[in-house]
Amino acid sequence: MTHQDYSAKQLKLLGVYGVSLLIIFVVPLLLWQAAPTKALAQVDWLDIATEGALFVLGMCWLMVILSARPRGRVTNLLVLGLACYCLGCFLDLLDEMFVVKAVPIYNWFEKMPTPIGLVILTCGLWLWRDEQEVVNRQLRTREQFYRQHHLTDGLTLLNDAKTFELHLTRQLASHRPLGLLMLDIDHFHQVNQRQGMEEGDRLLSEVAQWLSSQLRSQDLVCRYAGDSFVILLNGAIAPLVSTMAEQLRQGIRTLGCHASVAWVLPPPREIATEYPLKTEALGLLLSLNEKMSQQKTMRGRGCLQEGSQQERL
Amino acid sequence: MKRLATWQDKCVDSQLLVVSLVGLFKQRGFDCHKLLRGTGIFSPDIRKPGHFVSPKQLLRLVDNALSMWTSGDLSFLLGQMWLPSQSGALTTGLFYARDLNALGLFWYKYHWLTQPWLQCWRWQGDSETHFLLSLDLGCHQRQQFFIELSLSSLVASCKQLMGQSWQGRLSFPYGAPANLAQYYKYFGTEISFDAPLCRVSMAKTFMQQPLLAAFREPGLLQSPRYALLASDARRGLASGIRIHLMRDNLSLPQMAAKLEMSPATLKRRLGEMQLSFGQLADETRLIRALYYLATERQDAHSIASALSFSDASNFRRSFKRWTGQLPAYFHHWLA
Repeated sequence: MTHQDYSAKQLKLLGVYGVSLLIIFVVPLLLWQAAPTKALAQVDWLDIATEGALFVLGMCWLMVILSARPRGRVTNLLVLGLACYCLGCFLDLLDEMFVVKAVPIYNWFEKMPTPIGLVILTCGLWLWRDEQEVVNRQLRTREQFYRQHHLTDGLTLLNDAKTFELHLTRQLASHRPLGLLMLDIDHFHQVNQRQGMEEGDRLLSEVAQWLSSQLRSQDLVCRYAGDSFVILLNGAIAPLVSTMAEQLRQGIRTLGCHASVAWVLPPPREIATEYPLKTEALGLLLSLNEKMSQQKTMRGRGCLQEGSQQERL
Repeated sequence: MKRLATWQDKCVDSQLLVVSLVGLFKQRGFDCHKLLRGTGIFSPDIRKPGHFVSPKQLLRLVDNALSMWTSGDLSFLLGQMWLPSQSGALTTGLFYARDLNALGLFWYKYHWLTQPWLQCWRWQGDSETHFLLSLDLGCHQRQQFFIELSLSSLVASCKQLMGQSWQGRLSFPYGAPANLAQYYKYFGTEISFDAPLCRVSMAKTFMQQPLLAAFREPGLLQSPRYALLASDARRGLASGIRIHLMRDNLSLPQMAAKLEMSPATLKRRLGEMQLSFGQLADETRLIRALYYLATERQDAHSIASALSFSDASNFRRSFKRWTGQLPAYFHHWLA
């Protein structure tokens, strides 16, 4: 952020604080002078409590929006709408303490903020819906129609193995063709050991990002365990799955590492229908893992020979 | 004989597992005060040479860690750091071992220095060597964590020392866990759950393959020997009791007399670790029963009398209670 941006932001903040202070302190002061206060016996304490609660809750929502949303038009609308609503609540609260009928303009002034605020808020929410559709389209390879933030892996921000199982079961139930890919970074423990855990973690999140950018929007990638990732290819047939596997194996070299890729297709339906879907999903994952460990042992032997040849040279 | 370590004895070297654990949490940006809360461990102390923590403190630390680290891979990450940063006085000896057999013997002799929570029994089968793992120092309260930790350190060390992935079969004494993916990833697919005991099986031919850096006999290395001589204890209470019980069937008062304490004290010391004498007696009898079942020409009657059951049907009933299966089911478990 440049220096100018920074000072502009500060000025804006100052303006917002100034206006809210003005409203919160100056309006009651003016009322104090212009209108008579109610006698204690006339004050309805229940009204004060409920309207006060509405005001406090409105402020809480405002803070949630400010802290959680990125900046932009939608956020501005939401903030403006909520601020108007809060102002309305605050003025409502004041008229419990002062006899405001005596001040003609104030009566009008007090009624307006709440409806205007709610209208703006509604517009903001509608735009939020549009925005969320775009975001969902972006996120689809990562989390596929199913958002549960506690199922996300903290390091790579992908979903974890449990979620993958869930999706796989659901996909099997829908009887559409699918393919499973597993990608495992070669010699990842050496990265961790030689360059430290920070470097290893960085590589993992890079691979995660790269994988989600490589896949089609109907596919899903999850972090399986450690340095292995699983990918669900929707509507895939064998040639596509094997091409994809080869592409990923070649492509990951741009990130400066090598990977083993294994893939399986579910068995034909007639055989599979006897088992419950969950068992079938677990069985598929097991055979995927078996393929991967076969590949790893084969490649491990190959690498060992390569290594010893290099040493001799 | 040396003293047996109990719940409050400072016998776990904090420079190994504790430092690794705290370091990992720091690196991932967790709150280390929260991690150490209630453990009585202070972060400036843990790196000091000769600073030890008690099993009670260790277990509390693990409890805290597991409640903060929810992705189910903590034990696996720590296990992989065992050889480079948690093997302490053993590191050199492990690197110079001739093969896995020699390495196993060396580890067995000195593992108290790095993994005091483990007790290991070895059994030679026909083509495989089996290792049964029991937990000591009250660590069975976090059984899954400590088993994952120990086995992933075994697998990762083998990978590093042999230059190829580890081969063998594993059985776990609990049902399929929520983090099954980690098991497939690190232990391979030759694993089974709901076993009566934790079992590690490796082919004898695999254990005879030379290691990459094989150099000389680890017996020549002096530093672990001195470290072991200097330590107050050489095994934990549960482990010591199991060893006595493997030799003969003692009752609680007899055992207390052997350990030179009153039966009430023994009960209390075990109770601190959430253990009872009966549990330990059952466990050792199960191990012995499995050994007997694996040996030829042992029928239920002779096993029952060797384990001092009144008759064979009594033995069968107890066995069914321990494992959920009849003895015949386990004839080949340690084959």
